[in-house]
Order: sequence, then structure tokens, then C-alpha cells
Amino acid sequence: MNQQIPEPEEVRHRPLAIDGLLRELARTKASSGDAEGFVQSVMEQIRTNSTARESFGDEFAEASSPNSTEAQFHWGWAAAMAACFLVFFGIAMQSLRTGPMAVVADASGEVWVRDASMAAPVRVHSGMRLFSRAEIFTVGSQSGVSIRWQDGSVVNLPGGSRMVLSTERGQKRMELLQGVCEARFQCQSEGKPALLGGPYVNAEIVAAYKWLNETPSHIQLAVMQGQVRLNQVLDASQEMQDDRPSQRPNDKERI
Amino acid sequence: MNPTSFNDKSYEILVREYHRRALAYALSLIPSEDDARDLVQEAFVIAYRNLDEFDQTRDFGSWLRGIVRMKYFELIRRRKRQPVSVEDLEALDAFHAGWDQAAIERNASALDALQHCLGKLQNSARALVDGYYFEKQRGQAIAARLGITEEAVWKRMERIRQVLLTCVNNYLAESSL
Repeated sequence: MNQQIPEPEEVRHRPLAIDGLLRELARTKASSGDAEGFVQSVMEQIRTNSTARESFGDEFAEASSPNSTEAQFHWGWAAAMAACFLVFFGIAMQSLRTGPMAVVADASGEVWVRDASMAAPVRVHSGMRLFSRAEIFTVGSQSGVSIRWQDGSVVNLPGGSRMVLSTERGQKRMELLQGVCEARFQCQSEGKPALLGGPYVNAEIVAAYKWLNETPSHIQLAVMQGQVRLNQVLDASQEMQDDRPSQRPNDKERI
Repeated sequence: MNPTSFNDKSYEILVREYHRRALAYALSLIPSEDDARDLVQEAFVIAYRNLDEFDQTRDFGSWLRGIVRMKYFELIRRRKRQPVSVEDLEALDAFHAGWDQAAIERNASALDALQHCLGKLQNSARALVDGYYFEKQRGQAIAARLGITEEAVWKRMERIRQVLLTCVNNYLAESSL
């Protein structure tokens, strides 16, 4: 291979065959038990994936496959035992509730989720499955999360947002508690529009929607298909308390 | 071994047999060990899902590398990075195809060959390789330790890689005799 040296170390990652071999040799020397860990991790992922496919079909199974395996590799025995306990506990908890409604397609920065089965919020990772009444929140301006529903509809939350997601008899419900949300919905079942709501939100509807329901303290949008952007208005509560609804940002922009 | 029956147990044997070569391939494409592991892990899962479509007259390693390559390009696109050149990829594939062949026909491992060749390196060259690959030292630190410039470190490293590559290929070729 035609290799050019010197190169800055940070950008030096040409596909040198020998370089890859050396790295692999060094990697396995550094973590002697990693080979077995890797094999088991792959097989575990295959089994998890098969389960997801049985429930949702191939596409959803692919979306639910975890991307990051960092945490699976450097655990000692104590951590492994703790993980086993958590897995069994998780399986037990999952068997007590309905199946996952959505999956985290992508997460960056600090993203947390909490649902009824969790004593405390847990860090979100790509491929994580979300169950009904999951409250998901993004911390810091650099964070963000993309959630894919079972039908392929996608909800994006940028940094500093908080949303509760749930399903009720197949109807999607999303409550934006803080921040901004952008969503793209597949065509929903007749009579079961996706419901997006929250107090004092500014709704920008980019495509089709069904109806907009306003109360003095709440706004709710029912979406059959299309794109929606909801923006929680931080100072709207003050405006509402002042009984000046006309000063609220326009939430009736319709296309 | 090529996949002849598609149950979990036989696939686990395949994973065991091919994962280090696949990781070496991925680590040639991308420097991060975590990224390389993710690529290979995903590739194995995708391969498992599509085993029905696998042409058993072909080499499984080559098919798996194709999937790793595909996932690599996906990752690079997502991160808006510059991918490796087609020429470099072709050269990389050619080396791995040869090593696969040696493994299948003569049960000779390129990683074992490399281990053997590392043992034959001169002390100064070995110190450089150990520092960079095994102790994860940066070029600047190695240069300071050896009392040479960083540029000289990379030049030496380049020569050592070429020596090792030749040695590995010779070793694998001799193993057939």
C-alpha cells in the first residue's frame, strides 16, 4: 500500500492492513478476556434482535439494536454479577408490562429516561426500548435524542427538552413539558390520531393535522400524518396569568 | 468453517473463528476500538439475519468484511468524515483475502504470524511498536523518549510496518511448505 508518513497522529488512520493487525493484537493483549466477552456480546445481541423482530418485524428489530458496546467490555466479575441481576430484574419488570412502544434511534450528549418501573432515571443509549409513560429528557444544549415509534414515526428532542410518551390502545400520546419537539408521523390508524400536547406550546404544523384543541392552560394537537414542531413557550404562563392570551405566540399557524 | 446450518450454536462458532480478523479489518479502517467493535458486532448481527442469502461457495470472511465495509461507510457518512480511498480499501481487502486463504487452507493465522514477526524485530523498533500500539503513547511522547523528532517516529514506524507486513506474508507462505 502507498503510505505517506509523517502524518499528524490524530488523522493517521489509513487502512494499513498491518496497522489493523497490530491494533487487534494490542487490543486483545490489553483485555485478555475480551474475546469471549465479544463473542457472547454478539450472540446476546442476536438473541435480543430476534426477540424484537418477532414482536415488531425486521425494520424495528434493526432500529432496536444497540450501537454502543463500550460498557459490555471492561466489567469485572462484580459488575458482571450486578449486570446479571439487572438483566433478570429488567426481564421480570418487562414481563409485567406491555411491550416496548418505541425505540431510541439515536441519542447524543446527556439524555435520560424514567418510567414507572425505574426507581431513578437511567441514561439513554441508542437502541434502548421505551415503554409506555416514559419521560425522556435531554440535558444541555449539545444533547439530543431521536425516538422511533413502532410504525416508523419519529420524534426528535433537542437539548433542554422534556417529554412524556405513552400509548393507549394503539394511540400515541406525547406531552411536551419543556423545550422543543419536532416530529414526523406516518399515517395513523383511523380514529387514533397521534396526540401531541403540552401547556403553552407554540405549534407549527408543516403538513397534515386533524384538529387543534385549546384550553386556557393547554394545547393539544391531533396528527394523522405529517410533520409538526412544538415549541414550549417559557414565559407564556406569566402571560396567561395576566389574562392576555392575545400575547401568546401564534399557535394557530395552519397549512 | 463456512455456515452450513443456521442455528445459534454453529453461528457462535463462526463468530469465534472470524471476529478477530474482522476486528483487525475494522481497526484498519477506523482508529477507535469502540467504533471498530460496534462495526463488527453489527456486521455479525446483520450477517446472521441474512444467512439464508449467503452463497456458501464464497468465503464467509469476505462476505462479513463487505458488511463491515458497508457499516463503516454509513458511520463515516453520519459523522461527515472523509472515507478511505478506494485504492486503499482494495489493497486492504486483498491482504485480508490472502490471510483468510492462509487460514482456511493451512490453518495459519496472520495474527500468530505477526506475533512471530514482532519477536524478530530489533530492540529499538520493538520499543517503538510497543510504545505506540501496546502502551498507547502518542507520537510526541515516543519522540521525546527516544530523543528523536516526531517526524522521525512516523518514518520509522512506516518502515517497521512494511517490514512486518513482508514478514507476515512470508511466514504465512512458508507455513504451507
